[in-house]
Amino acid sequence: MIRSMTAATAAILALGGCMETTSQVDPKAVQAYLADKPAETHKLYSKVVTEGEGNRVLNLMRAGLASMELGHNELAAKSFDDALLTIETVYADDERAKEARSTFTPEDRKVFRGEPYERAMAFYYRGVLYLSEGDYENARASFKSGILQDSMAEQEEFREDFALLDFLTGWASQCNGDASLAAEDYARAKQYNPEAMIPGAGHNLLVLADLGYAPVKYGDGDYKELLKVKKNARSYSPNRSFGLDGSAQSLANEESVLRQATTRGGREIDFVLEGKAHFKEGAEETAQAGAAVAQAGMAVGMAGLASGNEDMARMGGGMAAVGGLVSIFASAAAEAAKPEADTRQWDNLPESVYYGTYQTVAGEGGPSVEGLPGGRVHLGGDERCQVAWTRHPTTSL
Amino acid sequence: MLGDIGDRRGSGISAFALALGAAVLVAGCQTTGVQNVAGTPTNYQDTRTAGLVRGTGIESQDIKSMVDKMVRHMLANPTLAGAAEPPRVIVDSAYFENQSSQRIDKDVLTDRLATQLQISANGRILFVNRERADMVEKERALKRAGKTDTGTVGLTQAVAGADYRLSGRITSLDQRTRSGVQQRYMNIVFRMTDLENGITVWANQYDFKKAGQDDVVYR
Repeated sequence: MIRSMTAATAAILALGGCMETTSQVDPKAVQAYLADKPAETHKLYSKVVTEGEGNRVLNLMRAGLASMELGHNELAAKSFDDALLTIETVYADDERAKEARSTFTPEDRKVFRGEPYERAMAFYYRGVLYLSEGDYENARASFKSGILQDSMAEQEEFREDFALLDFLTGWASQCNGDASLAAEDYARAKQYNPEAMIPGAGHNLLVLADLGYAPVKYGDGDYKELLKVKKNARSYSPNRSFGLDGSAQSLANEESVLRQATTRGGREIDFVLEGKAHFKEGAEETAQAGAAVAQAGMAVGMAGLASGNEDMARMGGGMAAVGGLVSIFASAAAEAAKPEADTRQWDNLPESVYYGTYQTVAGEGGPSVEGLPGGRVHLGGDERCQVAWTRHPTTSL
Repeated sequence: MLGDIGDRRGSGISAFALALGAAVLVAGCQTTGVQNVAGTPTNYQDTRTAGLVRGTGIESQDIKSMVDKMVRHMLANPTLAGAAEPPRVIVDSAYFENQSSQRIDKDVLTDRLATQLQISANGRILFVNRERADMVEKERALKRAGKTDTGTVGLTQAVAGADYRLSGRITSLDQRTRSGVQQRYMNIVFRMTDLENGITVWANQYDFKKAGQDDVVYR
């Protein structure tokens, strides 16, 4: 009895010791972090601090895009720079990554750096912000880096096929006065999308409209171990028409972020998750077999007791005990195994980016761009090129 | 009797089961959810070596090595550092183009080059500050308007014209495989051009290639 109590106490202590340490963030630290940020963004930026390092990139990208929508470009640029620092770092010998490989730790234990389509979009937004500043060299560098993120698709035809980023690399070169580089980039954009546009002579305005709801990640397979992406269930009808300096225009080109998200194919981590799923499946089968042995042992024991056969009763009891133990521990192992794919997602991304270039005779207030979805159009650029960007539906703050 | 055996065996099995359970629970809770709770205090890092955060782009050690190489080579050039009258040069980022895939503040590179070159040249080369031409213009205007005196060196007909100017280009070749290996080759070219006849009087380059591979959980 005493030994049972001791063992029970040990189990409880073990459970107590096993409680997840919650990282408590000092409210003053959160306030200090939010002090220089606009009030309407506080809800999103507070998560950067409270949700910790694992979700830092995700929260910075969400908040950065929301800041961009609100016109806080400097803050948005800082947020994306911070996120890209992690995205661009080579993560080798990383402790959290090592943990995420463990059978008993879920994939979402790793530091979030996004799937290739999310990383590419982070570079896209940083590039658009550089275009707004008139820094075409760094805009080009951002778009080029975005293209590189798209080089991990399983099927070759889908690698580096982000035609929008090739086009924008060309646009940045054109605005910077590098005509030959621009021609190479436009040619590459056409290679991936034969309908991709080449800006007309004299075009000096780029219009970008990020429309629709973000692709949705989900776990497929018996244990949700396969990462899949699907179209957002919320429907959205994009309006591509707008008015420029009083005349009707349309955004002729589309880059589907959903397509980029769904054509990557399998990941190398999927093999690790598949192994975890096999372990879980095996443990569950072992638990079932143990339970069956325990049941059979009980029956044998009961029969032994009924017939007064002591040896038979002992054997049955032993079988029941061993089968029960095997079942308990196999169940515990199955329960502890975490094969689920990481489905954290950048949920304020658009479904598609619609774009076009135009000629504008910009007055002092810049070009007049009206009627684009969302109502709020953000203008930037310099005397060489102008950029107009909008996002609809806007991020819920 | 059988009941006694069963009781003792039962309590033994219970104790064993609970102890094993405890062991499994302990084994299963190897993580606390918080990494490096105590954090890492800020410390100085050697700018000549790779730091804690590593990528495949230009880092501080590259800039130091690059600038050291350029300064040594420039000072060995007789046109630039061996002339009887010290030539006037402009070293800034105005004509230094980044065509690579790395976002970079070019001033980090050209500022260090200009400063290191000026220190090492020790008067053999004179540096014209064109970036702050407006600053010079303002002071000249004040002197000529009589709002300030002429200083200790007096007035000149015009601001100094330059003999040579630095230009350059950063380019890169990037590769990324499906297995997560990323490789970047960077080439940084420096040129000093005669501002009268357009002849390049000095050129050099610095290149490097870096490669790395993410942990499998990121592939």
